[in-house]
Amino acid sequence: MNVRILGVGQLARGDDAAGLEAAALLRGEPLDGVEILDAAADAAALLAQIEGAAGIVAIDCARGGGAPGSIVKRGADIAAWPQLRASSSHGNALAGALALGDALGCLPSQITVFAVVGQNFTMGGAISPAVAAALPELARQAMREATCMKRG
Amino acid sequence: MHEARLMRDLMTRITGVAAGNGGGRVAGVHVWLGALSHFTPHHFAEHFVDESAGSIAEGAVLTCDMSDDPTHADALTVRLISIELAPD
Amino acid sequence: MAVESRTIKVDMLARVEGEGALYVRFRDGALEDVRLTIFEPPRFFEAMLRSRAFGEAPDITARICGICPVAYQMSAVHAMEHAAGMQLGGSIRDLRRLLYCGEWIESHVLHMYMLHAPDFLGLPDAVQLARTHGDLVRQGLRMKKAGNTLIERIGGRAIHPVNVRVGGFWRAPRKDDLQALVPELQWGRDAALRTVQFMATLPMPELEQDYEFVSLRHPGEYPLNEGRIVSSAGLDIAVEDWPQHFEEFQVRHSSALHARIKARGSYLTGPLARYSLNFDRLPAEIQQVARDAGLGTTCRNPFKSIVVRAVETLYAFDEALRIIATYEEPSPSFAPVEPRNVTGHAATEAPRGLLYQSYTVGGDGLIADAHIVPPTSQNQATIERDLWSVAQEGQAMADADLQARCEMSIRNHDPCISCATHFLDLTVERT
Repeated sequence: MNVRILGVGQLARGDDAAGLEAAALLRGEPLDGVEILDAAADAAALLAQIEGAAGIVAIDCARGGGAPGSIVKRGADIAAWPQLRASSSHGNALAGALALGDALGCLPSQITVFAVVGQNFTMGGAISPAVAAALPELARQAMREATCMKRG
Repeated sequence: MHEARLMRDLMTRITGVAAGNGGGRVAGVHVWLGALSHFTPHHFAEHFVDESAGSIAEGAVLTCDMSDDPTHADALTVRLISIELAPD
Repeated sequence: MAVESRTIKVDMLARVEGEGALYVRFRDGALEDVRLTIFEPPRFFEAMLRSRAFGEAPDITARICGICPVAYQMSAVHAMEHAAGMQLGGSIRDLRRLLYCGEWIESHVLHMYMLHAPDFLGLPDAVQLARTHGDLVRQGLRMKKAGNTLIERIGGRAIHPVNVRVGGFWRAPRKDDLQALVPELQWGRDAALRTVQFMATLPMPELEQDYEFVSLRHPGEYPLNEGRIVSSAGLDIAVEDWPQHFEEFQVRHSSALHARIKARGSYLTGPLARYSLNFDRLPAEIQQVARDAGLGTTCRNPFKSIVVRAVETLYAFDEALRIIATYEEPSPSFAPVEPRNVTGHAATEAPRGLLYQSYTVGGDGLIADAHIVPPTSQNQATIERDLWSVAQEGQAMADADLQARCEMSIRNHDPCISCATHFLDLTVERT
């Protein structure tokens, strides 16, 4: 079983692309036993990506919860954490997937969510400078976490 | 209704700023309308009249700068540039 | 002493959370106004498409919706090919149909199981449904995965398919790769049959609406990518004549556009319309399944759209299996496309209804003008009409109950709104 790193977010919505961009940085340095995926846009498909993994590291962008560009780390309880709801236009797929997986009892035992706090979620907008500057660190933290999970 | 809600949020800000600056009547409001805010100046005025009725901003003179740049970072929204406060 | 007025500089942004709102007003016990507003991302994308190369349209439009990217891509490529004066057949046509089946499956299943079914069972959301009907939700998740896998095999990725291009596909999937999907699709077809049977047992509010249905109609098949635009009031036109018969108009208090038929007014696209206008294009076996589920050859109860979606899901699994059985890899996987200085039009059947696009491409291959009319804006006026009926009947309800009934009524037609803001911002004014 692999550990999966999921980049969560949407392109062309400003900082909401941060999780996808950070995941893209990691594709340049692949590691055995760690898969890097772009997360699906809805809770059901996202849960299919989560189920069956040895561990999940999700990287997302949050609205609020700290200064823009700061990185917050949480466990699977993100579902009960409204102030960090991602700004995806299709609702909060990640929180939905985790809540659904919890209800069905099919979540992996190791789940970590890293979120960079965004500030600009404008349709078509670019990633804001503070968030762009935080992407390499976000990617590094995600990979470090995945490596720990892989070792068990 | 995207617009109605933008307007509601804007009105909260206007009355908040007025209160924070000693209150009084809002005689003028200057806004910048994003190209994708779904507002035209005419339409903004319609909403403003509805939303301000009975408030301290009723009857305020509007100044609207209309942006035509859809790629502007704030294109979807409205910027409140300034308000003019007059004594009651 | 008179005090001068003073100007306070602020510079603040007005913001709204969520993208859907419903406003209902009663005066003296009578319903006076119902307004539904949905933010329309395609307007932004139309601006973004101008001056881009015509070949970029499928990638750019795919970003409009995370749930139905294929629909946006399919309308875009067909419009571009229409502008170039070409029509593709053979395996490329089959593959596009197969890809679309994948999207119908994943989108319909998402809608039925994750958004709509909890309404009928009196549950707040799919998470509660998972607690009370775990096996049912697991079945839905597996069906959805089968649809997503189909998209991934053909589109290159499940989320934002990259393999679609004007003229065909960058790379055609291998026959073996599609054959490998057959057992899961066969399971999916059986599960879809059980889904129809289950959805038919749900308690349905009684409501018959006098819709004018609009959908594509093809001479030989249930419509996906091709056909004429027909309506239940006798409209029968080529897709390129859309602008002569339909118009978008501004509604008071909103610059969002609604669409209407010039001669008559509001109309409905989507599963109810497709089904009612194309029942005779379904295979006999599926017609029988629909009849056994209590559906007639037309369906005007918007709440029963959940049963119709289940029938269409069954069709999509069935059609996918049929296409895979005879599939041969196209070679080459795409036809070269020469842009001409004309306007191309296309409409395809997105899961939630007719998706029309037109593009004017210059001789330099750059997009001069783009026009995208998604099902949501076409259905909006009709959804408001449904809400009038629901609000009128629900006048005596408490606001929270009325909100639940209104949300359910919206979800009958458009998961885009309900997944953008599952918690619709409802304002009820009673004076």
